[in-house]
Amino acid sequence: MRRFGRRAFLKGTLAAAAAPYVLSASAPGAAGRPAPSNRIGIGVIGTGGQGGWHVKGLLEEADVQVLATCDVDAGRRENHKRAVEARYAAEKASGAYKGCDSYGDFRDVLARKDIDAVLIAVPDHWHGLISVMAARAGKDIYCEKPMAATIAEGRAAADAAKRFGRIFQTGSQERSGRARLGCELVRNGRIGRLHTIRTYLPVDSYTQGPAPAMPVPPGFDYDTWLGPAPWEPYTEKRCHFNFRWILDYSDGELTDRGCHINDIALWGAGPLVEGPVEVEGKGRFRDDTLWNVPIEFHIEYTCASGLRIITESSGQRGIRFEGTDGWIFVAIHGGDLSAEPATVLRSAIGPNEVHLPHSNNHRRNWLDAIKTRGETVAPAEAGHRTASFCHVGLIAMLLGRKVKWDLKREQFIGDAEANRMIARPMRSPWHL
Amino acid sequence: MVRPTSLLLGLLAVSLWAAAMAQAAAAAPPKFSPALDDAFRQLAAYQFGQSRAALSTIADALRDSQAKPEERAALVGRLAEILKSDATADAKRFACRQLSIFGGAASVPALAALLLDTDLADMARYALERIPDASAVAAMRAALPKASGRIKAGLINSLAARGDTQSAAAIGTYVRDKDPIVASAAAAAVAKLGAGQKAAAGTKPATGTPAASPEAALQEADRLLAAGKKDEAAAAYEQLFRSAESKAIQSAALRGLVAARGQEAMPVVTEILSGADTQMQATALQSLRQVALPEVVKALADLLPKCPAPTQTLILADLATRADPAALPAVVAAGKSPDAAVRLAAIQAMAKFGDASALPVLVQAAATAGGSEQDEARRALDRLPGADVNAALVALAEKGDAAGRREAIRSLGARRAAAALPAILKAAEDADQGVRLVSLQAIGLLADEKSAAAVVALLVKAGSGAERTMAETALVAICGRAANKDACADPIVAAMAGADGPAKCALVRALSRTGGAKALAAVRAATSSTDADVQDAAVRALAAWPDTSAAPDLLSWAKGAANPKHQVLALQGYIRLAGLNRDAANRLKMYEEALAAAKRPDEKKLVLSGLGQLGTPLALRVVTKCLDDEAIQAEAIAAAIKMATGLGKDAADNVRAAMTKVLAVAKDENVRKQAEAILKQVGAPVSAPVILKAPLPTGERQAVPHGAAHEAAATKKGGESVAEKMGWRLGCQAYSFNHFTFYEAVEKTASLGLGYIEAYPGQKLSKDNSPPGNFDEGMSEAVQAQVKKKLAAAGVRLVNYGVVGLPGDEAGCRKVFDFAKKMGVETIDSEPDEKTFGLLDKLTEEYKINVAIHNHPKASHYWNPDIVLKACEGHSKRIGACADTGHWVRSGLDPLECLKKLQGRIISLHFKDLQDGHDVPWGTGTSGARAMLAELARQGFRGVFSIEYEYNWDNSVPEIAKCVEFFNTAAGELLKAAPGKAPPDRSGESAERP
Repeated sequence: MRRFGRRAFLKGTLAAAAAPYVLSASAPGAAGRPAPSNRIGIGVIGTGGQGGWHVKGLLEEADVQVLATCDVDAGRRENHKRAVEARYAAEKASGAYKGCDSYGDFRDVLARKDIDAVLIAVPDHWHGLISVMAARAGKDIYCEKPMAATIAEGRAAADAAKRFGRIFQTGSQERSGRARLGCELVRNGRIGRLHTIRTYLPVDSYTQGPAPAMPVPPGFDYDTWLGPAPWEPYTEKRCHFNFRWILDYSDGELTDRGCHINDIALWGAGPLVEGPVEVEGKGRFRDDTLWNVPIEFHIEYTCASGLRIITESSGQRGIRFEGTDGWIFVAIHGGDLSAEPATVLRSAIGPNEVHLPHSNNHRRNWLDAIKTRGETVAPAEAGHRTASFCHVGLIAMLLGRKVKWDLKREQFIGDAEANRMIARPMRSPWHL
Repeated sequence: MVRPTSLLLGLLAVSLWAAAMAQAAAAAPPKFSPALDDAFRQLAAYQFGQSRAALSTIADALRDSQAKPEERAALVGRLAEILKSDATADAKRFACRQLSIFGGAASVPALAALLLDTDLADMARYALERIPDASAVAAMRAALPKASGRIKAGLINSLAARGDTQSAAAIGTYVRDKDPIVASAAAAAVAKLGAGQKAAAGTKPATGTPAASPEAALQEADRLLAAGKKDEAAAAYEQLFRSAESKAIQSAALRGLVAARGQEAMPVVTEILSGADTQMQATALQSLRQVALPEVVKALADLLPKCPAPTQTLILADLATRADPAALPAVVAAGKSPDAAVRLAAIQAMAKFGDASALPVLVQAAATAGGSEQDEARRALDRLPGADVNAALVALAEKGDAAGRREAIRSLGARRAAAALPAILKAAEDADQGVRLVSLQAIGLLADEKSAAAVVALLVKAGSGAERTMAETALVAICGRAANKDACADPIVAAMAGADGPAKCALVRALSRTGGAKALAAVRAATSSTDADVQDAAVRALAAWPDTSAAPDLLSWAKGAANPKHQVLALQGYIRLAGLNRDAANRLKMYEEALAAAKRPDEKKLVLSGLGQLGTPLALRVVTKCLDDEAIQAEAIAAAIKMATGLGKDAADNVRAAMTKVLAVAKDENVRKQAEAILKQVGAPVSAPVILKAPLPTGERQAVPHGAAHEAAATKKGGESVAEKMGWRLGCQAYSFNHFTFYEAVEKTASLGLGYIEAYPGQKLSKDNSPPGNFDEGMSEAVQAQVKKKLAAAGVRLVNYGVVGLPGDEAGCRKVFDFAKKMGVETIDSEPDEKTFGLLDKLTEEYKINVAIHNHPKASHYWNPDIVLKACEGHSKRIGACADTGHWVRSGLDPLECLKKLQGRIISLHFKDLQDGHDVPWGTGTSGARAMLAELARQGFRGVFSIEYEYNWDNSVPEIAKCVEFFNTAAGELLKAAPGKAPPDRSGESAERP
């Protein structure tokens, strides 16, 4: 793999670029790592469960330097800052390292010139806005799925990534696995003409319990946690992890694992997903005092091509592609495949057939794309398409009627109320 | 972002009408149902934390009133009343949320009144920004001068979101507001709305007016472009590109420049590509993709060799995306670059749109390069589009150095290029052994029966064992695929006479795939061979015969073979063939013959299994006779019960006789109950059966000391660990590594210093397909042997297998048990139907293999340990729980309580510690890992802990290492706390180790 000169990479103007392209072979990093100037400087925004996992993974990448952790929860950002510094200290002769800063405000991370890229793993209602602001600040972006909490914010993020020439990876990491093969088999007609896709999203039945208004704990910046979402009283069960059960921040399982599962469905369907798409959904929403996302649902999408995609909250988590000659089931997570006839899975994708981009490691795929300035396996438009698909399902359920979605214009046809749900006004001072 | 214009136009009429309706409703108060009335009363007092039932009632009514305008207007009106009333703030927030979707012009006054309210301004705006009616915007515009701070900023943001150019001038005056929140909102809004000024970067602002930000200048240029003023736009973009400091702005400006100028932007792009800023180069190329003209492709192809290597890789990737054949010569030339990254990018581009002209470079790379370049070159060869590619590959297969020819032939096979077969058959006789082997491999992929004679000839004159094996594999593949089996059998039979011993064995084996009379005669003749290997191969071929025509031969071998091994092989083959018989009477007759010939319980049990499947009254009669044979009594009882259940009253006499006999011999209480129930069902017996009181089985899982081989594996890291002194063994569930192959899972387990592994069905065995296929019951004996070798070499013992399905029928279950037995598995983890437990009592005892009931989370049957306990009640102690502590937590259960409940029934564990719903290193989660271990120590549990780590899939070893460390430390502490307590081994070791 070609090493990437970060100095050249960072200095943008033509004048600066006229300097010779230098690999700092004279100053190699410790333990066989590229020299610090050739590493991708990364800030991790959101260091909860998923963000923490990403921090650990990034520390194992030789060509990455984690320069900042950022979280509205001081404990979380400090813990990860310490872990980063301990890891890098271990490779120093002195055994000491102090080069990772922690921030409570993501805008301070975006302002850092030495940070090339950000990894965004905050709650869903922040995805779109931070992505837009990061792209505008010239950062390459890995943003956890879903792309955004609303269709409009996802559109804005995808536009910004394109406009500002940013490498963008959505966290639809099932693409970096065996699911790809399943999609390629479907795309190449191994199960005949694809007519139905069933996506199974069994919903975890967590118990909410009491959630009274309570004082915000010290070290937690609740106002920034809420960000653009409407103000509501603080209670512990609103925030860390549990935000996914509340409609102000998430569509529930529909966008949580739905953005993995429906993403693979759309990837396998390819050009068959064409508009207008008729969407009909029935759902039962949680009726707790706080949690209110759909807990049971059955949504049917009918594309103009005749393809039907049926999403439901039961079954074995995964995607079943049904064609005129058989079916393929892709299990989530990991992409275990099964098929009828089983021989389909042994068939190789030949010359002159559709081949989808190959990736075995989602995060690595992003880092490689940053270096080659190439396309990621889950680029912004794909992430936005998938998240929109899920949001449209939620809107159909919220309205309790059939809606028609114009895929190209990203508008509902003849349904003003549905169109009002495309965007969500933001709490001041936040705006797109 | 609301798209205001279309919405406004579309909805103006509707809104006005809705407003009119609301007035009408005010004139005549609407009649709500008492429930709805009550809901509104409750809403007024609603406080966060209380039940939202009333809120849901109102929300549902609003949703369902779309087709009932009067009701809709009344509901919306009531919400406005709530806003005006002294209802709680929480109630008002709810009202604003609903009005944001369902409100109209009539709702605007009540919302507007809240626009300056410290607590509710944001929520009022939340509704107004979404209400399409122009009055909503007007209300926000009117509030703007009166507002300050965050409220003012919010109004500015909403007006900008609505694209309200009428506000632009007013907002412009706030750009230099002393409150930075207001100033920053105003600057963004001005950029978005245009503010009517000709903004351009670098222009000196007039005194008192702020400098246009690059962002604003960019948006202004976008507006010029959208208005068709291409020259003006291009000038603005170029100025921004040259002057902006931010690379992001430069990128956007460059994109705009190309959009405005098209191909004429090429000089700027060339200038960038001639520099060294790879990031801007990528942006330039991406922007240029908007222009698909041949001139652009030509310019890029010409530029390619002149650029530095990093730029070349970028251009190559771009040309790959464009896939214009005009660029191919330049790409092929780049495939010979001295720079490895450039070569790789060129190969990847050729894979996309190359033709035969790319072949020499690709074959060369596949033959001589290593690593990813070789992989990518092979991938490109196998995918290269173009009709002329196969013919050109054949030419390369026929001449040149051996390494290149091997690659060409390998690729022809992978491409399934049937037309290449004659050339490859010829290459199979090449002087180079490597060429011969790869040719045979390709033939196995390509050939049909027409080539059988040629392949047979190659097999007979094979120069080495490897070639013979490869030729046999090819021949077997051809025979398996052939529609006309005789066309395969004839040349094989003809070649028998002239073949040497090893070749003859291979030919005989191939004949068992063709079948047919001639083939049978030839194999029969081979059974009389004086060559012991040939004779053995022939008997095995008969036993594997595809139809019943070999049955008489097999029966006579079963009865009269001199070699006891051949007797067994023949009898097993005979029993298998019986099962292929469609005629029930013939099948029964064959089973009776087999029973008469059988000397060992194993084969008798096979017959019983077949009889059970046959399930006829006469078959039941034969089974009933077997009930006296103690060696197979348990199987006979199970078969009899199953058959009797199926037959019922249809064969009352046979069933009655069978069940009476069962009651006479069976000791198991459960079985007896079943037999009695069946008797009752078929009707009163002639005389009441004598119920013999039999002692209950002792029911302990058999305790067997660890075997020597196992000891060696378990202590390979030096001495018995503390945990193992307690009878605890720690291993990995291979599912932790399901992103990898089973072989990799074994290696990772070994790298963690662990000596045990639990396999799961369906995992791909190895990365390089050697051995091929997945870990499951379908593994051939040869593959099983390889897998065992791999495990032994790694010092890892396969102890458990699961979670695997155990079907309701005995034959299906035996498949799993047979496989488990062969692989040396102690415990099968499964979630079988409760109805199967009777059968499992028998099979677990017979095979000395435990079945542990695994719990998936709620909604799966065994989610709750109470269900597992109840299901196990009265069943063999070899049936128990595979405690998945993580899934209990996911089901809302306390894992510690679950473990306590299951005391004495725990056989295996999928031990987990969770945090935020996913696995974390043991001891760092919220599942109480330490307390669970202490509880298991207290119970005296002995057995295997499987680490099933379902998180961080691609790199979980460091976290699993922490689990191991925690486990060992905790075990040490527990042993210290109770040193003398070394509980008896109830872990259920397999009695016979393979």
